[in-house]
Amino acid sequence: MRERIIGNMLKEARLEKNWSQVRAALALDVTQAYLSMLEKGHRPVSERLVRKALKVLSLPPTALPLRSEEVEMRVSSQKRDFSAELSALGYPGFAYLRARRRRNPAEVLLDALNEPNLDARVAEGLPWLAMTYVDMDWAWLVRNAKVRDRQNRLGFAVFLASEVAEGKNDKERRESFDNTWNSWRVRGLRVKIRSATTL
Amino acid sequence: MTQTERAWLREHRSPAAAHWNLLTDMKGKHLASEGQSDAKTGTANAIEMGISLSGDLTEDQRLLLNPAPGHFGMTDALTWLRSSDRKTLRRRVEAWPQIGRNTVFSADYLQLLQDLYTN
Repeated sequence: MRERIIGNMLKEARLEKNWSQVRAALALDVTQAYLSMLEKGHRPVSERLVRKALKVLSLPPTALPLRSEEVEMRVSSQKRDFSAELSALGYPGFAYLRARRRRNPAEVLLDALNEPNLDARVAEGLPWLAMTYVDMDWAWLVRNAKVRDRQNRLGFAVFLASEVAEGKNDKERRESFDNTWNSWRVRGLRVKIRSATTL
Repeated sequence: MTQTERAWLREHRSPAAAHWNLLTDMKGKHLASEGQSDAKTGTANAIEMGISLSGDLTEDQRLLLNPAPGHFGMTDALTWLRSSDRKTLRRRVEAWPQIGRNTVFSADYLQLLQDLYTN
């Protein structure tokens, strides 16, 4: 499933550049036959290749692999520099920071929502993240947010993102965003935890 | 967060924040324009940059910057920021040397901050 999604993203990014498979394969340092298999989802795409495609084909960061649950628990306890991570993903509020290695926006959003004392300016960037990377893996994000009782924070961040899209009169993005989100709302993200928390 | 802050946020939060059972004063209209957000970020950075530059001043030069009619200290400058930005900046200020904390700003500079925040 994941292979097919990444394969489609690779193909779309290649066609967006009007590149043939031969030319894209050359740029990615793989054979045309292998690229064809990747695009069809017949082979898993390594993180190294995805990172190369981010540069060469301008593949969106949502194609980056999401870490597994076991790694998740270990990494989430580490102190993170969310402002630099948002900067790397193109958030204009932190454009002045030096870009660092990019991570999947869904991972950054989850980790930030899970942070007990989140910097106010970072919190302001979370709705932007949800709005900009509307094609992120919501299934993974919602599942993990619910496991950590962060569904309220996620719901609020998404609500703000929807408001921002409306304020910018970005009809296309708003519709795309609402369609994606509504399907998850129906699946129970409205379940709220009892104690009031901060964002 | 203190109980007073909690009470204040509970009273002043948006209906959406109340719906999601969150204590925050963040509102969509504050985030509606990226340009505005940039301006606010730029303002906070400008203050920080001004203070870091003043760290290179000699003791005599710094004395010339002491609060005087038409000039304001750091505390006054921070009052122009939104509460969330103010809290963040105050935390950073605590890490600066005393010389940075004594920086003062001209009335023109504070007017610029006010314009950025009200427009």
